[in-house]
Amino acid sequence: MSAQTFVRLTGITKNFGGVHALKGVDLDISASEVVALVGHNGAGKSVLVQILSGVFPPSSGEIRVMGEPVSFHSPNDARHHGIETIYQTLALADNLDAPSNFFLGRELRTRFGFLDKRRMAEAAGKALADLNPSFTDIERPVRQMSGGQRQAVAIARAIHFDVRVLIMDEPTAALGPHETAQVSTLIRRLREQGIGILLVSHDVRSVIDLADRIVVLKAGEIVGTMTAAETDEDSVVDMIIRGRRREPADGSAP
Amino acid sequence: MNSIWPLAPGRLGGSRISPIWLVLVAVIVAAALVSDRFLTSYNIASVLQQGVITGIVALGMTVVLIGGQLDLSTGAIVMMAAVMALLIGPDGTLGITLAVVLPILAGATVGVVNGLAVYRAGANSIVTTIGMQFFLIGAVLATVSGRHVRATAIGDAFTALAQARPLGIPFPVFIFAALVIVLAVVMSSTVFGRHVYAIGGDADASRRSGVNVVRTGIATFAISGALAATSGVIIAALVGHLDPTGVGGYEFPALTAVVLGGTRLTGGVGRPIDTVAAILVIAIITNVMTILDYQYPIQLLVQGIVLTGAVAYYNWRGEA
Ligand SMILES: Nc1ncnc2c1ncn2[C@@H]1O[C@H](COP(=O)(O)OP(=O)(O)OP(=O)(O)O)[C@@H](O)[C@H]1O
Ligand SMILES: [Mg+2]
Repeated sequence: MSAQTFVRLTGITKNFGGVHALKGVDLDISASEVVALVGHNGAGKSVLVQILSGVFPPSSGEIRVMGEPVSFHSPNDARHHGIETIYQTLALADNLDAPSNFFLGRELRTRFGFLDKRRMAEAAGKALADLNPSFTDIERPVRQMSGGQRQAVAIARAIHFDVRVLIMDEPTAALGPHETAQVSTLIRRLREQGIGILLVSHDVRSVIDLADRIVVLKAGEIVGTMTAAETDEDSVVDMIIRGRRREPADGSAP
Repeated sequence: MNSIWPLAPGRLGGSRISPIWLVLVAVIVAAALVSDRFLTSYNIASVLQQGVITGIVALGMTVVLIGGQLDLSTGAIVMMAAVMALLIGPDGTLGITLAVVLPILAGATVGVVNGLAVYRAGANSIVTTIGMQFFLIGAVLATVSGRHVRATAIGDAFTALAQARPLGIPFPVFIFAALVIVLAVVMSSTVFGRHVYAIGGDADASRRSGVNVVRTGIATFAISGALAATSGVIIAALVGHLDPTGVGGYEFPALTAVVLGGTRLTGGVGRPIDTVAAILVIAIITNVMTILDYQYPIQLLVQGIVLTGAVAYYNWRGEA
C-alpha cells in the first residue's frame, strides 16, 4: 500500500467485568481512506470507537499513530494526535450554545486569560456556515436546535481542528435524507483532502457507496474485510448476520 | 425569543434578566409599605448583615449546583470554621491571620474531600455531603467537649472584620460584594466557569470533549467549602464566642436562595448574581416578619413555602 498508515490497531481487547466486548481486533486506517465498520447492535463498534478516541483504554493491545505506539489517557490525548470523533450520542452539552460546544475543552482565551467569546463565536459561525449556509442563530442552547443542526455542530467542531483521522459513529442515524446526502458529500470531500475516515454505520447500501474498505465486526471480532468496489449489499449483509461469506451454492438471497 | 417577561431562568451567556429581580423589587416595595421601620438605615444594614452570612454560603452552593451537584455540608463547615477561628485565638497579626486563613483552608480541604468522593469515586453528592456534615459536627463537638467556645483573646482588627462599618455599611457586605463580583466573572468569563456549566449540562459529553470533569468538579466543592468557612470566620468575628450546637442550619436557607435564584436543580443553568437577588428577597421577607413579630416557626414555614414554590414554578415554566 502506498498511502500512509495513520492509525494501526493491533490485538485490541476490551472487557467490562465479564463481558468481552472486543476480542482482539486489528485495524488500519490510512490517508484518504474511508473504512466502514459494520456489524450488529452490540457487536462492539462503539467500544472500538471509544478506545480509539481515548474515552477509555483497551484491556490489551496496541495503538500506533504514524507508526509510534501511543496510549490515550483522555479524549484530549487522541485529539492531540489528530484523531477527532463524532460520537453516536454527539457529545454536546445541551445547555451550552453552539460556539461553546464547538470549542469545549479547547477554548480560545484573550491576552488576559479570559474566554475570548467574540473570536469563538466568529470562528464557530464561519465553520457552521461553511457546512450549512442556512444555519444562523447559533448562540442559543443546542437543546433548542434541530437534530440536523446539532449534528452540524458536532461535525463542524470535529473537522475544524487539525484532523488526520475522523471517526464517525452513526453520523446519519438521526438525520433526514437531505442531511444524510450532505454528510456523504462531506465524507467524500474530506477523503479528497487526505483525511482517513472510520465510518460506523448500519446503512449497508450507502456504506458500499462511500467506503473503500468494509470491516465487519461480530461479537467483538472482525469476521471479514471487503473491498467496497468488489462486493455487494447481499454479501455484506450475509457477513454481518452469519459472520462468513455467502457460499455461492446458497443461490440467491431471500 | 424576545419575550418582555423574561422568564427563562438565568440563561447562560444570555442577557435576559431572571424573574427573581422583579420579585426583589416587588418585595422591597411591599416591605416599605407594610412597615415604616423597614427603610431605616439601621434596618437595611441589619438586612444586609443577615443576608450576607447566608449569601456567602449560597454563592458556593450555586457554583456546585451549576456543576450538577448539591453541597449540604456547608452548614457544618460554617460551624467548624467559626469554632476553629475562636480556638486559634484571633489576636495579634499572626493570630488573626491564622484565624482567618486556616479555617478557610480547612473548608477548602473538606470541599476537596467531598469533590473526590463525588467526582472521582462517583458517590451521590447528597449522601456524601450529609455524611460529611455528620462527621464535621461530631468532630467539632468532640473537640470542644460540647462546651461553649470562647477565644482566649480577640484582637480588635479581627472583630472589625464583622463589625466595622465603613460608610455605615457593615464590612461583611463589602466582602460579600467582592466575592460576588469575582465569582460572576469566573463563572461567565473563564474556561473554568465554562467547564462548570458544561459538566452540569452533560458530564459525559464534557469528558468526551476534553473537559477534565474530575478536576473541575473537585474545584467547585473546594470553592463551596472555602466560602462556607469564610462565613464561619465572619460569624466568629461577629459574636466572639459561641455555642457550637447553635451554629448551623445554614445549608437550607442557602439552598433555598440558590434555587429561588433560578439555578437548575439538575445543573447547567444558573448565575451567582441571581442567587444574590434571592438572598435579598429572603432576608427582606425574614426581616419584615421579624419586625411584624412573627415568630421563628412561621418564618421557617414561609421559607419552606418559598423553596417548594420556587422549585414548582421553575419546573412548571420548563427550561430555556
Ligand atoms: N461502558 C460499558 N460498560 C459495560 N459494557 C459495555 C459498555 N459499553 C459497551 N458495553 C457492552 O459492549 C458490547 C458492545 O457494545 P457497543 O456499544 O460497542 O455496540 P455497537 O456495536 O456500537 O452497537 P450499536 O449498533 O447498537 O451502536 C455490548 O455488549 C455492550 O453492552
Ligand atoms: Mg454503537
